[in-house]
Amino acid sequence: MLLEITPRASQSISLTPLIDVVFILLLFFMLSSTFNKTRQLELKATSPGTQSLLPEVNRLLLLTDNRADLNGTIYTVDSIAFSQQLSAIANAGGAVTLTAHSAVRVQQTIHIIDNLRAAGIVQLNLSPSVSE
Amino acid sequence: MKIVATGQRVSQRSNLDNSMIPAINIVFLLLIFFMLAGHIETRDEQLRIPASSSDSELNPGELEIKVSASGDYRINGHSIDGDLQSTMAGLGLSPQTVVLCHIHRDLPSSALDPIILAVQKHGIKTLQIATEHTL
Repeated sequence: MLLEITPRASQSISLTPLIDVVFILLLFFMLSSTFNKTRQLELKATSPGTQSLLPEVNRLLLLTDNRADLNGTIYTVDSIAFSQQLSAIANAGGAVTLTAHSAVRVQQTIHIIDNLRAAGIVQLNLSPSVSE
Repeated sequence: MKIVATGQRVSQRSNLDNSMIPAINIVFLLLIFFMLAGHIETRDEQLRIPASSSDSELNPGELEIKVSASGDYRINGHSIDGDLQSTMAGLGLSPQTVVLCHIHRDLPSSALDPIILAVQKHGIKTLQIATEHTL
């Protein structure tokens, strides 16, 4: 018996379903992934007995409307004058006791702690908030 | 009518497939990038921690306090019944205990007061606040 063997035509696999799946995966990862990293801010809690042991304690009261009272003088938090004062405190090796007004949001408090750290202030104490 | 089949359509399709290959390559690269660089985490709208420029690695504290947007305090995953100070008093804390605080960013600063007072009361020296470092 003679069999006729015909060469099978090469069938190309369609890429379209694969691309569909890859696009869906891409969308999933793009929408659900986050690039934010959780970090920490380390603070020293003020204890009344140890405040007097610090070399020079500067009192910083964080007010609403992006203002701050540093040793009795009111500054805008992002002003150059305020940054200069913080740098002067850092250069003198002074400590800062931070107190926030009770209406100030936590994010603003963290923002000013960031500013203090950026100025080079190492000794930073956090006190309970005040309402007046 | 005479229909003449030519290979024109087949070659057009083949050309289209070939021209899609660079696009597919880029899509694959994007997919690999997002799979490796990003990480998937549950988004809790009730506890969005504040953003900061701090780059210190987060160390798990021995005592973890979470304060949600509704003002609920949870210690090590358990909600507390009474006030925070009395609850912490029963935990036998030492001054060397590291307290890690996750607090919702939009809460007033007064929400931190019970934690600061409790930390002061127990003579705890280090209070860590979890923050989000954004790129």
